[in-house]
Formats: sequence, C-alpha cells, structure tokens
Amino acid sequence: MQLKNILKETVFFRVIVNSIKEASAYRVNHLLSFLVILLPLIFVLSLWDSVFTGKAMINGYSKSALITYYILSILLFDILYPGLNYNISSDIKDGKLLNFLIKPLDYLSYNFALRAGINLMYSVSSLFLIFIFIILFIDSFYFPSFWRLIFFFLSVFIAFILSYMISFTLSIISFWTEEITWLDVLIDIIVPVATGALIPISFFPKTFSKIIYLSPFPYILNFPIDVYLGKISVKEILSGFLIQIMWLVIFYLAGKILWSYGLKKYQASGG
Amino acid sequence: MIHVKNLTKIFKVNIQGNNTIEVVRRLIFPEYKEVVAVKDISFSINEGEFVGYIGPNGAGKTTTLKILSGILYPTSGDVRVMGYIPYKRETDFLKNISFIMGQKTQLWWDIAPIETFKLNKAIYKIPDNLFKKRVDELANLLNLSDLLEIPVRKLSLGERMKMEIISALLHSPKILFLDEPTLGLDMFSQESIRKFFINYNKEYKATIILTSHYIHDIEKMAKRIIIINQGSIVYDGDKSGIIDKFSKERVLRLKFKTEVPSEVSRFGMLTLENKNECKLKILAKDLREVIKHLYQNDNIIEIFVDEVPLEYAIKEYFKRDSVF
Amino acid sequence: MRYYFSVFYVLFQNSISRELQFNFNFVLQFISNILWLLFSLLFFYIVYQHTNSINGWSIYQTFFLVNLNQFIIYIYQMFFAKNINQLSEIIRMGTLDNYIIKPIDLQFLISFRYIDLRPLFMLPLPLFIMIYIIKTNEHNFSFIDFILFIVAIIMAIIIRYSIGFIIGSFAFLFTRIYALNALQNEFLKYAGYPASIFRGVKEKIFTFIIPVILIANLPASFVLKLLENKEILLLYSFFYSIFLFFLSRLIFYKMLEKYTSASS
Repeated sequence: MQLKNILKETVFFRVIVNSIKEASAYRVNHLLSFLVILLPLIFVLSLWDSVFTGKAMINGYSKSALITYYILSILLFDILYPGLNYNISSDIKDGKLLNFLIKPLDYLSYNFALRAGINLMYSVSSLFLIFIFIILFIDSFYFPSFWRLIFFFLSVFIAFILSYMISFTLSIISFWTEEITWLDVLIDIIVPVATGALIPISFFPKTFSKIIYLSPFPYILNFPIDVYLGKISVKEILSGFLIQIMWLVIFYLAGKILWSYGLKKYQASGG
Repeated sequence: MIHVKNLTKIFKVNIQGNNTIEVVRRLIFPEYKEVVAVKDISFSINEGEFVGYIGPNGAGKTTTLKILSGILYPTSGDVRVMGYIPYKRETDFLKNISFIMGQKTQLWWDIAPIETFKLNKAIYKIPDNLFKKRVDELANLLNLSDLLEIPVRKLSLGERMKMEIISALLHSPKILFLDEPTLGLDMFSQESIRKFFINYNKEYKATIILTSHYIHDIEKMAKRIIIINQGSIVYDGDKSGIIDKFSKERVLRLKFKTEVPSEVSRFGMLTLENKNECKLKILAKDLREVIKHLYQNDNIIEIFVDEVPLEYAIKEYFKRDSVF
Repeated sequence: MRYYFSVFYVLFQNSISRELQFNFNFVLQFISNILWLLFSLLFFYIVYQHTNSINGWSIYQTFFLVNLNQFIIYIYQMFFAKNINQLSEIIRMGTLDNYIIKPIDLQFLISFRYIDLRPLFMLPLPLFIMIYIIKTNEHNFSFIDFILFIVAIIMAIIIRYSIGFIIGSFAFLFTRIYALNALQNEFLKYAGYPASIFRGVKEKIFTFIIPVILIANLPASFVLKLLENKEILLLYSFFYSIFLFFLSRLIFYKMLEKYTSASS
C-alpha cells in the first residue's frame, strides 16, 4: 500500500471538504429522506411483527434483535452500498478523466475522499434519523455493551472502505465497455440479498448461506450488525475483521491492477 | 524543451455493423479500422515560445497535445518534454504542466472557484503565501477578484473560463497546453483572455502551445505557427512566412497625381477606384519588380501594400488541398 | 378520441422498431427480472418457514400476491416508468419545448412517449405462476369476481400512474428528486406484502391515504377472497383513482404554467 504522506492527507482533506460543501449546496429534503426510509421500515417490521405472534425467537433472533437489525440495515445500506460509482464511469466516458490524468493525483484515493465526503453528510442525517427511530421503537430497540459498540463502529468503518474498493473496481469496467447499466441492475438485485439487507443471511437455507459467505458482501452489512447485536463471540468478531480486511486488500489490489490496464488502454485510444 | 521526432499515432477504431447479424458477428469477431491521426511529425519547441498549432478538424492537433501531455501514448516515435517521457506521467513532470481544455472544466460546479483552487494547492503542494500571491495576481490580471467566492454554476461562460485559467496556473507550470481556450466565448472575453496569455508568456516565460479554430487567436498570440493537415505538418515557422508561402497574390493600392496610367494594367488586375486611385492585384512573386517599376513613374504619389490576413492565406492553402 | 388512439398506435409501432433489440441488455434485463421475482418469493418462503400464516394469509396466497404485484409493475414499466422518470431530464435538457408546441394533450404525449415492450416478455412468468396457484389450490371464484379483479387492476394502474406523475411533476421544481423517485419505487415493492400485517390505524392509512393496499391486495382478494368489504374498497379505489388522475393533471399543468412563464 502507498505510504500516505502528510500532503496526501491534505488533498484528502480538501476533497472531503469540497465534497461536503457541494452536497450541502443541494438542500437534501430531510423529511423526504426520512420518508424513504420510514415507509419500507414500517412494512418490514409489521410483517415480522405478525410472524412473531406467539414466538419469542426466530432463528436465534429475538423480536427486538430483528427490529434493531432492520433499522440499522436500512440506515447503513445507502452508506455502505457497493454499487457502481457514476462519477468514475462518467469521468471515463466523457473524457473528464483527462483533467485528473494531468495532475499528480491518485485517482483511487481521490474518489475515496469524494465518497467519504458525501457519506459524511449522509451519516449526519442518519444519526438524526436513528434518534427518531430509537424513540419510535424504544421498547424494541437493542442497546449493546460499550465494547460491542466500539467493535461495531470499527467494523462499519472497514466495511465502508471495503465497499468503496468493490465499487471502484466495478466502476472502472467503463474503460472497456460503454454500456454498464446491466452491471448496475445486477448489483441492485444481488446486493440487497447478499449483504443481508433483505433478510439476515442466517435465515437462508444452509447451502445458500454458505455460498453467500464465500463472497465479501455479508461482511459489509450483516457482519457489522451481528457484531452490534452481540450475536457472535469475540473470537468470531476478530476473524470477521480479518476476513473484511482480506477482502479489502483483494479488491484494492484488483482495483489498482485493473486501473493500470485500463489506463494503458485509455492512453492508447481514449481521451 | 519539447522534442518530437517521427511521431506517429494510429488509432484502432471499432467498426460497428448496420444490421443485427453484423452486430452479432462483430461482437464475437471484432473488426477494426486504422485511423492515422498523426504521421511521422517532428518539431522542437524551446522554452518560452508561444506556438500556435492549427489545422482542420481531425487533423491531429488535439492528439498531438494529448501525447505531449502524457494522456495518450504514441504508436511510434520519440517524444521528450523537459527531458521526461510524457506518458510515464512522472510526478515531477506533471507538476510542471497544465492543460486547459475549452470544453472540459476542472472546477467543481456547485461551490466557489476558490475551493477548487485550494484543492489544486494541496495537489501541487503550493505553499500558503505563494498560493495567496498567485491567486491575487491572477485574479487581478483577469479582473475577477470579487467573483472568487461565487459558486461556479452562477458565473458566466467567460468568467468560468477565466477561473479555469487561474486554476490551471496556480502551480506556475512551465508548459501550458491550451486546447480551444476561447471556444464559445463572447468577443470581449476572447480579447481579454488573449491579452492575458500574451502577457503571461512574456512575463513568466512559460512555454505555451495553443490550438484554436479562431485564426484570430493564433494571429494575435502566437509567434510561431505549426500547421498540421491530415496528420502531417505542412508548415512550421513564422506568421509572416505563411503569408509568403501560401498566398500567391498581393493587392496594391495606388494613388497617382493625375489619371491612373493605363500601362499599370500590364502588371496585373486593375480595378479603378476613382480617377487617380486604383487597386492592383499582382502575383506575390512579382511584388518587388512591380514596386520598382511604379516608383520610376513620376505620377505616383502613394503605393500601399494591403496586408493579407492570415486567415485568408491559410484558407487559400486549404482550399487548394480541398480539405475544409 | 380516435385521434388519441391513432397517435398511440404510432407510438406503439415506433417502440417495436426501436426498443426491441434482442441484445445483451435485453437478455440481462430478462434474467435480472426473473431473479428479482425469485428472490421476492424466496424471501416469503423463508418467512413462511417460521409461521404457517401471516395473520390469515397462507404461503400460496402471499405468492399469488407477489406475482400479481410484479405483473402490475411490469405493466407500469411497459407504458409509464421510463416516461415519468425522464420527465426531469426532458425539462432540464429543454426537449420539453418540442413537445409543448405539438397540438396534442401534453400529459398524454409525455406519458406514452416510449412504450417499452421488453416487460411484455416477462409477463408470462408471474401470470403463469398465478394461474398455477389458483388451479392447484381450489380457489373458487365467479365470473363477476374475475371481472372485478380486472377492474381493480386497472384502478391500481391508474393510481400508480397518477402518483408517479404527480411526483414526476415536481421535477419542474427540483432538479434532483432522486429521493422522490426512490420513494415511490420502494413502496411499490411493498405493495406485494399481505395487507393482513396491518391492523387499525396503519391499515386505514395504507388503504385510504397512501393506497398501497389498493394496488395488489385489493384485486387479489377478488380471487382469493381475503379482504372484507372488498366491493366497498373497489368503489373507493374507483373514485380515488379518478381523483388522483385529475389531481395529477392539475398539478402538472400548474407546474407547466410556472415553467412556461419563467422560460429557460
């Protein structure tokens, strides 16, 4: 990995600042984003409420745990979504990439800072929303121990970087093909299932769940939330961290390699 | 400073089919067409030169600039800029160049230009006081000191272009690539930007390579002009040389004491303006001879040689080759 | 009226020649749509591993519901989805001006501009599953029930369209309404949830105000006989759909006024 010298951090910082400033130029309607999240939440929770009638636990999750699971899942989903990065793909397709190539700038880090800035904004509204949800569901919301909470934030942090690396690696496919909406659609379908946003992965049939755990996706959402809920032992938490980091490194390297191939191709024909 | 030797750039372009069968076939067996963008060109540019690079669309201008700045790599030939090989994109190389494209902005759209400047400051590692000095200097020269804090999307096209220029010059690049910098701008903005670059070139001794469709730009800014057509350089030299080389005719305005003598018409095409004034169109090569003869005539009061506009000379050349 | 039909027919023919290319994209969209449906069914399958009924709805009834909802989504996608989603784009790009000057109702033109025929090929799947469920589970219903079933579906599409168009009209005000688009798409997914999960206030809200239940649950209950007072609800759906439709026209043309008076 590159050594981040002091100046890189400054570029980082500046990109994040600019990113935040730009995001706030568009007054995101908080009420609207609240509704976008609240409505699906009401449906899902009402559904599970009916399923839980007469039962205390389903598949190892108590009602409180499952409710908390979905609240966290819905709040974190947008921030951690490893989807296509349209900034990157349009930079490549429209030729704006030029502007970055002539600067002594690491494109991968630059876009990471960009995304971090935007998501910092989202996180702030998420914090606001989580207060509301906690109040709304105060009876059912699960509060973890201090250390679990720390581990939770750590795992979310790593998940964020992992998600970005996946996103970056997928987005630079734009070097080779103009049409990428198919990938977007594919991701849109697979990700909610594989990350555990649709339903905790342990609910799936055994073979299905085994296959999903071979991919990095469960470590983006399901794993951090399980950490929060205290569903797994400390040993499992630590091995989970290792797996997260392993995937992170894999996609980072894949991204860097694809980038250099893509750049070569771009320098041969693009611009 | 810039040395280009036998540079050739060939693009492989995908051929698409017309109907479904062809499209499918070409999906599996892709077919390419080779497009020669630049063919065996060579030139050298010294530090501080202001070079205009012109040619019709598709002639290879932008391609050359992109190769010089490292965005594209050559198919064959040798390119060295400040001793570096551009496409390697070494940091020390990139720190000394700048590329301004008329159409593709590097400014962040929704926030003030100063924020983009600060970002460049971080990227190019410009120290605080130098940064402030540059911003003030450049903003003053371009007359937009009070616009620095206004979101880019609220600025006019001309103002945006000027901000773009500041953004590109903050790190005092030794070489400046300008690709159609005045495209789409109103007359006044064009003029002020032209003046700015002329000044900048003089004061900072920055090497500037400019491509433009507006011959006006080239005429006013560049001393040296390279003309490229269909991938090959057809002219490399002074402005005036173009006129001499490509324009075969000259127009003389003559004023006589009395009536215009009829013998004047044997030098070339004569158009009477009034009794004692006329225009005479002659072949450029005969200019000296004709003037010598005219001076020997007692009747002559005034001989005036019309300046051939560069645009006219270039158009004439291209008309011959019927490329435009 | 005939005029509108003839224009519609031309738009339809245009779609056949333009949109229908059996290319990579089409195949992928086909596959991903099937996957989506399967995952939805898988979701409920898993839920039903842990319970026998969701407040009265059996697994097959829920499956029927999910497929019906998907069917309605496909019809919406065929005719309206792309047009409404692109409304903000055509306003921003100025293309809207080309449509304004045409001597035809603007809302009609915008709504039927593109007809996407691809969902047509995906319709058979949910349709087949629905028929299969009916056949194998001995659901008896009369011919009248079936007619009302169809009517309820038509109402549902009008409701969905009207809401979509209202939200789309806000594109005149904000250039970025991703949140709104996201909202209406999200909640349409949930129209496939059995209404029995709601009781009391929630049930009323989602039936009468944010009419999610009217979309798929109502038509389904004519065949599956699940909702009480379904005839009354149908009547309500009828009036509500008309109300929403005219509301969409009102809002759209009001926004248009502002747009044309303000100009570029």
